[in-house]
Amino acid sequence: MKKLMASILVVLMIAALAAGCRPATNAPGNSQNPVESQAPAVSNVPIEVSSTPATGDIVEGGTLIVREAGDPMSFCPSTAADDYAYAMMQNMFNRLTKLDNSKSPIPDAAESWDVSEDALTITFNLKKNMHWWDGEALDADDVKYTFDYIKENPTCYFSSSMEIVDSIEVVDPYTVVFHMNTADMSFVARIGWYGTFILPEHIYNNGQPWEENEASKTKPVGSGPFMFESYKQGENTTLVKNPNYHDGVPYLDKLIFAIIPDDTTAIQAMINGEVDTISMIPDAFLDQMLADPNYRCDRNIYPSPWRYIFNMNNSIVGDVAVRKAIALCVDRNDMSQKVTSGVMPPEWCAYPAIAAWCANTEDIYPDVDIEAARKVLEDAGYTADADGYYVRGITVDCFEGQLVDMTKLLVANCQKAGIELILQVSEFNAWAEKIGPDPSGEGWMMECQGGFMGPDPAALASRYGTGSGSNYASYSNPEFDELCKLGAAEGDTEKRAEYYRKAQKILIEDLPAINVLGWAGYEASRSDLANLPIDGEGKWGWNEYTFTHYVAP
Amino acid sequence: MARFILRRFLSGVLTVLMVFVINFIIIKAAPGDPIRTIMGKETDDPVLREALMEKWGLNKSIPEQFWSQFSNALKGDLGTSIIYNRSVNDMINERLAATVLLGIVSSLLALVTGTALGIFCARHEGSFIDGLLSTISYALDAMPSFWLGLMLIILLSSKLGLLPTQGMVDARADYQGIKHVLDVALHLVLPTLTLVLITMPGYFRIAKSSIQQVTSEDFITTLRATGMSRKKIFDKYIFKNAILPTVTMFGITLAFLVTGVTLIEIVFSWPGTGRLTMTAINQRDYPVLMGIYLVMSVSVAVVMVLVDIAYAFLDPRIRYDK
Repeated sequence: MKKLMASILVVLMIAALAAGCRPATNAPGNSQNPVESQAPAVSNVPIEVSSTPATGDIVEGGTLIVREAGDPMSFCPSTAADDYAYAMMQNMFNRLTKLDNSKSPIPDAAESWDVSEDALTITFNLKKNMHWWDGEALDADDVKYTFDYIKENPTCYFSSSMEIVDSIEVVDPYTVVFHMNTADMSFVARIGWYGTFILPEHIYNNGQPWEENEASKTKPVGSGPFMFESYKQGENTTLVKNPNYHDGVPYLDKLIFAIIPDDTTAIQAMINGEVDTISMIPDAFLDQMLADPNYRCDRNIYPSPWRYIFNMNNSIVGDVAVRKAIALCVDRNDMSQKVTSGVMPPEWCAYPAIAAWCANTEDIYPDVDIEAARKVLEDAGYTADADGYYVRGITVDCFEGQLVDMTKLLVANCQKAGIELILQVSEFNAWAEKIGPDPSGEGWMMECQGGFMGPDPAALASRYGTGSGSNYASYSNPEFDELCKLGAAEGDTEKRAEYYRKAQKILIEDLPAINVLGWAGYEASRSDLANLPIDGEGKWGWNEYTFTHYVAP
Repeated sequence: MARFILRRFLSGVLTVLMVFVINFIIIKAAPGDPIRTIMGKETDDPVLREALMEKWGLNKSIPEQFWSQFSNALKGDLGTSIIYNRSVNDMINERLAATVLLGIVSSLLALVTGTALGIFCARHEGSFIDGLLSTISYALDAMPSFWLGLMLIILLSSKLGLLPTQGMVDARADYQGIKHVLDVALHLVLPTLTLVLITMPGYFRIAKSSIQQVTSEDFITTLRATGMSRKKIFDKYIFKNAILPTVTMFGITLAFLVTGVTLIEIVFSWPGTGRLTMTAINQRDYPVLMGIYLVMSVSVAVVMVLVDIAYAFLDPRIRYDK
């Protein structure tokens, strides 16, 4: 037994050493040259395929097991923003539009859409051969019913977003028109994300709240490529192929979402053949998975940068000189390498660089320069105290492991620049209770978070627009607000991009927040799988397995 | 005996009531709320928050919320999960079987093996085996359960491919009938082994020290002087006297194992109440947490009463009616 334990310890130590010795060349976006590394283009590619997708004869049938970290909240896809249910719902229901793996909108139930010149009328043209699993036709009435209900019920996640919709008109069974009271070109993209799946009116329109309908609890009726078969709490959800799916019958017979909460266990389950695909591989196992020919690993970057947000109402960080000095202490390359083993690339732009069409790659955050940080403070009239600090007592609130590690590096750099940052780590709920718009300016000073900034740059307005509930910084700049408004209303893509680039320039100057790393992770799948969601940019949805199949050896 | 049982029952009820109140206060005092989970991390829309608070009665006063939960619990209704919009009774019932199965099997195995090895070592004190088993028991005691579990997964599943890594069944195979039973048994091996290895050292040391202590008592020496056989002395006098602390420990261990071994259930994706507890804590799902804690406190109270009763049967010196 002693020998056995000793052997295990030795194996572990060797594995730990090997992980620490991973060559830097494996790190995407890594660069030793800070000038080169400033080029945001390094993270312009959202998907980095590290192995060749499987090719060969299609195998009809089979079961695909996808790892999921938790139970779905319910089988009603349009009430809550349920991360654990997202992939399931993507395969059970349809929306008007859906996001592909690059997080861009592509057609779903709507085969096309037309936006009027003033952007106040959006006409969706539905596919003509859609059916619910029970055989009823999916048509414009279902669309109108779904979005009317969402608008009328404030407990629905998307309800507030429906305020800009004045009314919904059914022109014919396959044409539905959204009349808007505010021009917003981002609407088409936003209805491809959370809480916007079309529900069957003939099932749900019975006077009950959606959440109480039996279809939401045990007997979902969808229109997607896979049909619900069973759900075992804490174990798995099993779907079977829909033989009548309008976009083509899936190749796979079964799609199982296995609930495995622990990352390490999930990786071991994959190695043991119990799971076929897994997202966000922990750094410790990345080398092993990348080197193993049995798996294909692909890096997926999300428009969800890790960022520091300042409480603009706070008397200390409310001073732009302090924020600029802190920005000059952010060493993105160091953070990327030390905290994420290079998996998450530096983010230099105010809007994620992966959105190449609108990201401002000219006006970007500065690279680390401790001396410049000191100079900024001195020029602003700050003097060092006996301990060498120009500014003391700035608290930084964090909630998550890697965010904490990243902040420790910032704390160390700030110390060199004479800025005292005090790291405060909380559990997520405690963090969430503390952080938010804070008119008093006394609740918190600086915080660290991630969070989706897609699928459209209109998200800038919700994150930094005056009065927005998600504008934790309480930032307010009329010029920025106006540019966001113009960007939302503009139909021409290049003109839209220009408005948002100008808005980003303002954010770089005012620094209500500092983007640091682009959120990214590797997905691993069996190497004999083809047409995975990561292969479907512009073709099929993020987490959609309609066209996924095994290939013959 | 009847009076004793009644007294212990009333004491158990009082304990459960106190635990209910204390748990409610602690849960409510913890920062955060379940609404954040429902809203997701991507929005802090005040209108959505207010609507959800209203829907789930979280904007009512704390005494009102307590009374609502308490009065429902008295009727056997543990409420509705705020996150999953499901009956808490159903959620716990679905998970309880997995936890009870794992808890009972591992408790019994740990009890039998730990006690047997403890007795063996006590009777062969100073031998090589005694030294080896004592060393191993200390080493196992020092190992965190989740670490040991992961090591067993890596060794027995990933490297040797002998056992399944996680879960309670093979989802791909979806066995039925007797094959399903065998499949569950196979999935039970690793979590059980981990739990046995973690809890066995306790039984081992208690059994060993108790046997040693009773063996050195004067009455044992007297019995030996009468010429009674060693086997009879051990079976009739030493074992019966030495087993009492083990019974106490078994009761306590069983109560906690039955209510869920959170880390083990997470590591092995075992769909039991321990995992449900952890999820409910992270999501601040108040009704689920209160429900689990109630089940847990009732289980502990019941097992403790049973242990006390078992004492009376095992040790004739104990007379509760006096």
